Amino acid sequence: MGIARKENENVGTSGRMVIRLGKTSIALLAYACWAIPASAQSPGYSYSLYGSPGLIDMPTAQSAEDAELVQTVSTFKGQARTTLTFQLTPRLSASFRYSTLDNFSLTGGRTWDRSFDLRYRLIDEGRYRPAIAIGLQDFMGTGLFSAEYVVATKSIGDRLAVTGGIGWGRLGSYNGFSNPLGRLNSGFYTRPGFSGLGGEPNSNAWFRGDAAFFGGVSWAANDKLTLKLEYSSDAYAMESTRGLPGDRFVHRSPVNFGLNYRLRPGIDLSASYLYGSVLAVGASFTFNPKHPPAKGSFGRGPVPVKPRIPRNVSPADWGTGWIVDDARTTKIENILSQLLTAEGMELEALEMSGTTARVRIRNNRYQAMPQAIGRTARLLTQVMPASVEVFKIEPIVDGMVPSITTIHRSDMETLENTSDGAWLSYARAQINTSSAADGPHSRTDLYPRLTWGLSPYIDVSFFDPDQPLRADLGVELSGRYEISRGLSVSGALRQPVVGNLDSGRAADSILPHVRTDANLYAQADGPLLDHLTLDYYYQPAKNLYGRFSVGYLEKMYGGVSSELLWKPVDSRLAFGLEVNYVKKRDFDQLLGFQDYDVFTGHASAYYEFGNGFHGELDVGRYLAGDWGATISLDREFGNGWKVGAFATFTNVSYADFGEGSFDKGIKLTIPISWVTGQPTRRKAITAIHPLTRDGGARLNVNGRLYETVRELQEPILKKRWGRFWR
Amino acid sequence: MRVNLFVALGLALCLGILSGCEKQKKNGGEMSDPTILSLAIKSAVGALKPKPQSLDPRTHLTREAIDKAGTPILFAGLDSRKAYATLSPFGENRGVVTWISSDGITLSYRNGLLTATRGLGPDLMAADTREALVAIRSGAGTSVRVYDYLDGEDQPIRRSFICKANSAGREDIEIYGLKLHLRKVTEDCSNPDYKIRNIYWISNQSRIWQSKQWVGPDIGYVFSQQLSQ
Repeated sequence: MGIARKENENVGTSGRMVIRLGKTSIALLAYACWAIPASAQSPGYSYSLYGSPGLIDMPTAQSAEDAELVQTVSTFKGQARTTLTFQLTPRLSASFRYSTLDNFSLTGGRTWDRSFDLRYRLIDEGRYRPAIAIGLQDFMGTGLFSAEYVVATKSIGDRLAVTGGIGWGRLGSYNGFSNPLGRLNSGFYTRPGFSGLGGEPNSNAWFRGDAAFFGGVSWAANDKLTLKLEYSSDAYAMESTRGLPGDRFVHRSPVNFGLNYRLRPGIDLSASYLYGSVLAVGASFTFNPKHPPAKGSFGRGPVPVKPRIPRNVSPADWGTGWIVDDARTTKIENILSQLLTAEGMELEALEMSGTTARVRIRNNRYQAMPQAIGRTARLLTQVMPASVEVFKIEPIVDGMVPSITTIHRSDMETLENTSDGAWLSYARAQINTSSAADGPHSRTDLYPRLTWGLSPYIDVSFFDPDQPLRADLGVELSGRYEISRGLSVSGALRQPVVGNLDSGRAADSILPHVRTDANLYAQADGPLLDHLTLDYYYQPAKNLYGRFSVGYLEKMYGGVSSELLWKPVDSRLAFGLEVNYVKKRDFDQLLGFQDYDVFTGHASAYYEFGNGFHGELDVGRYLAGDWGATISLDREFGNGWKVGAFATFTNVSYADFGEGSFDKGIKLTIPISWVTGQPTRRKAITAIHPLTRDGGARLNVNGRLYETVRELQEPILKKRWGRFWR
Repeated sequence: MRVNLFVALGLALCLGILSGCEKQKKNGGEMSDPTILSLAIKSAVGALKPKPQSLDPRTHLTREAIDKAGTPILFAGLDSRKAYATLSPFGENRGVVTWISSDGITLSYRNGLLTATRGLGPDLMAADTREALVAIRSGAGTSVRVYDYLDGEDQPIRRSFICKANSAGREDIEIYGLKLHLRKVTEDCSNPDYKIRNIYWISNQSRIWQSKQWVGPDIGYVFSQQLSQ
C-alpha cells in the first residue's frame, strides 16, 4: 500500500525566482482585498453609487468592458450599498446589490435589502448619435430601489461625456410629470405599490407611474481624476418620510457633484456631495476574467521534445525487437513514471507495441488537460524507442477514461518550435471516445492507496439580517482510500475552532426543515464528520458514465446516491439522471440520523452553446419533496473562470417558500492558477444564495459526473489546446 | 455605527468571493477543500518571511568555473524584473536549443534568435525568425517576424512585425576573460502597436555571442550572453 502525503502545489514555491514569488504573493494578497491590478478600465466610464456605470446616483448609457466584474461599496448618511456587477455580454450587464437603510422602521430600526438590476445597451455611440441604454433597477426585490430608465450618453472629445435620460419609479420621483406611456395604455399612469414576499419580478410596476428627466456631465481632468455633475430625478421620498423624524434624509437640491479618482488600474475611489445635504464616499474594485493577474504561467517549463536520430543515420534504433526485452520495457515504464511524477502527473497504465505507446495518466497539477497531454507526449519522446510513432494518451479521472488522444511523434518533432504550433498540433491530433474497461491494466503497485490532507476550512453564511456575515473557521482532516480503479472511500473530519454560525436565526419555515436548520448543525462542538462515502465510478457502455455513492453524503444528509451521464466525446449536449434516497443527519454530525427521509433526484440536460455560454436544466424532486426545475446559465472562459446564475421553481408556492419567493443565486468559479500563475487544479467555487430556504433545495453530493467528464472531452479540449505546448 | 457597518459590508464582499462555500470536486492527490482565503493566509505568511536575496550570478562567475562546468552556460537577464540567471542546455530539436534555469524557466533559441520562453508568465510561445536570421547575419535587409502568444483565456494570439537590420560597426567585448571582437547588428521592428529594437553581437563565424531581444510587451527584453567558448 502506498501512502502519499498530499502534494501541496500552491505554496511550496521554494526555488522560484524570488522576484516572482514576491509578485505572486502580492497579487494574491491584493486579490484578497479585491485589488486586482489586471484590468485597466477603458477611460470614459466609472461606477455610480449603485455600482453600475454611471454618474453619481444616476445611470449612464455606457457599458463596462466585456466580462468586467466589479465590486463597489458606497455609503452616505443612512445608507450603504454594495454591488456586484458583471458585464455579461458586450451589451448586457447584471447587478446584485446588498444594501442597508438606517432609520427604516417606525422605531428607527434598520432594514437590509437585496436587489437585482439589468441594463441593455440598445444603440452604440456613433459620430453624432449617442449610446442609448435601457435599464431595470431592483426589478425583482422588495422594490426599495425600483426604477426603470432609458438613458443616452454622448462623449464629446476624449474627456467630456454628456448624459440625459428619462426615469420611472425612484428615478421619476423628483419633478415628475404624467407618464408619456399612458397615451398607449392608461394603465401606465399609476404605479402599483409593492406586495408579496419579494424576489419575484415586479413587472406589473415597470415603466409605470410618473416619469422624470435626469442628466449630467462627467469630465476627465486627467487619466486619474474625473469630475461629475448631475441633476437627479430621485426625490429620496422614502428616506425622507420613514423612521424617526430627527434622523430622516433631507433632500434640499436635485444637484449632486462629485469626483472619481483612479487610485490605480482596478481601484477607483469616489466622493460626492448629494442632494445639498450629505457627503457620500465609494470605492470600486474591477477585474476581468479575461485578464489574469499572472498574465500566464510561472510554472516550470516543460521537458522538451527529444527528436529521434533519423532512420538512415541509425537504422538499428528503429527496430522493434526491444518489445520482447522485458528488462528494457520495465525500465522504460519506470523512467516514464518518474518523469511524469516530476511533472505533477502519475502513470496509471502503460501498454506498448513496436510502434504504439498507450498511456493512462492522472493529472494532479494542470488546470488545462491539454497541458497535461502535451507534457506527457513530450516525455514519451524522451523514453520511447524510435520505432514508436503513435502516442495514445488517456487522462484518467476517478477511474474513468472519457477520451483518448492520438498524437503522432513526428508531429511532436516538427511542431514543437513552429509558429502556429498550437492549432497545427490540434488539427493533427485525434480525439476519440474511450473506456476504462478496454485498455491497459492499471499498474499493480497503484492500489490500494491512501492520500490524506490536513487543512483549514472556512464556512460562511451571508445576508442574515441580524448579522450579514457569519463564519466558522476550523481544521479539516480529509482522506481518500482507493481500493481499486474507480472504487474508493473518501471522508473528512472537521473540528470547528472559532465562529458564530451557531447564532444564526432559527428556522421559521413551514416546509420540512431541509436546509433552514443550518444554525442547529453549526451548534455541534465537533469533531464532526463532514462526509464519509464509498464511491464507485464506472463506464457501463459507450458514452455512458456512472457513479454510485453510499454513506454520509454531506453535512446534513446521508444515504445512497446514483448517477448516470450520457456524454459523447464530441458532443455539446449531455444528459444526466441522478436518483438519491437520503435521511437527514443528526445535528451533531456524527453517525446518527433523524427521522426525515426522502427520495430526491433529477433528470438533467447540459448544453454548451459554443459562444462561451453554457446552460443546464435540472428537472426533478427536491429535498423537501417538492417537484420542479432548476435553470442555470453560465458564462465560461477559456481559462476556467465561470460566472453563472441559477433559479429554481418548484410546486412550493411563493407564500410557503417564504421571503425571496423562490431559490436563486449566483455562482463564481475561479481557478487558483488564474490568480497565482502557479499550475494547480484547485479552484475556488462560491455560490451566493441571497436566501437559503427549504424549497428547491438540492442534495450536495460530492463528485458529480458532468464537470469531471466534460473537461476531458470536446469542446473543452479544443478551447484549452493553446496550453498543449506550455 | 456606520463605520462598523461599512467594515462588515467590505468584509462580506471579500469573504463572499474568497470562501469556497461549496464542496469542490476532488481530483487525484489533492484532497483538501481550499479557499482563496486559506491560500491568501499561507501566502501572506510566506511573504512575511525574510526572502533570500536574488543573486546575480555575474558577481561570482569566473572563467575557470565556466570552463570547468562541463556543459555550455548561457547567462540571461530580465532587467524588467531584475532577474538574472545562468542556464544550461535542456534539449535540442531541429536547430532550436532550449536552455533551462535552476528554477525551471526555459528560453529557446534558433541560431541565436529567441523563439520561445516558458515560465515567465506572458510567455513567448513560438516565433518565426527564418527571414530575420538572414537579414541579421548579413547586417542589412528587411524581414517579417511573427510572434505567438496566449491571451488571458489561453487562446493563441499573434503579433507580426516588419523588421530592418542595420550594421552598427564592431565592438570589443570581454566575457569573463574571453576577449572578442564582434560585429554589432541592430534590428528595428515595428507594427501599429509596438516599436522594438533587438541588438546582436556576432562573430565572424556567424555565432551570436550576445544579444538583447524582445520577448513581449509585458516582459520586455531579455539579455543573453554565451559564456562558454
